[in-house]
Amino acid sequence: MSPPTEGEVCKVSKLPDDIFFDIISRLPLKTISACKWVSKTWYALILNPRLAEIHFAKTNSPCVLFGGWYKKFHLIDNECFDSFDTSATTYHIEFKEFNENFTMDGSINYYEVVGLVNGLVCFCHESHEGCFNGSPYYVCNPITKDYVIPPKSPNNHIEPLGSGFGFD
Amino acid sequence: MKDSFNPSIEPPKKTVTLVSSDGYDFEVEEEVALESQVIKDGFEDKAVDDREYLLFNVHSDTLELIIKYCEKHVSSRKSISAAAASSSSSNGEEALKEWDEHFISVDTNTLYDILMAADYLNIKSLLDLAIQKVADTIHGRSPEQIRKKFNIENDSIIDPWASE
Repeated sequence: MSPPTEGEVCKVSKLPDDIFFDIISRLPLKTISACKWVSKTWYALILNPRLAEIHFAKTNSPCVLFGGWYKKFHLIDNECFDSFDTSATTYHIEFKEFNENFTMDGSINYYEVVGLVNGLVCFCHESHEGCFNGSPYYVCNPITKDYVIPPKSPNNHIEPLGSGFGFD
Repeated sequence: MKDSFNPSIEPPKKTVTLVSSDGYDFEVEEEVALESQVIKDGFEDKAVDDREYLLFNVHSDTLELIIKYCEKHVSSRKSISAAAASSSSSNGEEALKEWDEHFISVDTNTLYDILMAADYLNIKSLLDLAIQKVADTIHGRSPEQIRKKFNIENDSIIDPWASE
């Protein structure tokens, strides 16, 4: 068993995708987030939706998300629930270019969490007018920090009384 | 000749031959080889005198380790169930866990070889052990530390959150 020679490319970088996903899905979100920036290959693999599926299936305890001020949100990883820690570090997640176009009037926007489903988080403007006057909801993936804006309801003349996030 | 009909004499242990990718023969007890689901699946189809398996993907260095792992697990299982049958207290499970932990504490390339062999031979407990070890190695490290640990080339991907 000789140790790897200096400069030799480690074989771990050549793992089959399924095994790679299995490894990564055992890690807490914060490490997964860091792993994205290891290399271009890792980046592409971590953005693969299959990882999110596997990770979610494996994680029994949920993450806790605090709605934040402006566009910052704080997340407590499931990890601290697994180890029964009495205190936990939070880390903030900021979504790329999140709602840049809504600060044009100079006002500070607040967001609320509408719901969490399958590891995805749905946010909207704190007041529901946001939705009514055409501002969207956001469905975000905390692992990748990416988000999508679901299409608007065709019945946008009806003022919504409340919001929910679910799946069928 | 008479002896061979005496049921009190233990029959010689059945063995199978595992051939590594670099051509070395390893004669192991049948029950040790059957730890591999792949060998188990094809086992009944093979003639008794032809129980030889060519493992094209497993180098002799790795095969030696895999056999060591399987032998340990077969013998530990026996002593654990024997202790359970005689309802004597045993810390067999704990001891095996410790043994596993020590077994898998190897350099990253050996770990990769074990992982790939466990996958190829479909030895679930070993695959799980190796995957968990890689995950533990990555856990809590920064991208730079991970690259260093696994000797991964930095292909100049830019981390926009690095300044945080």
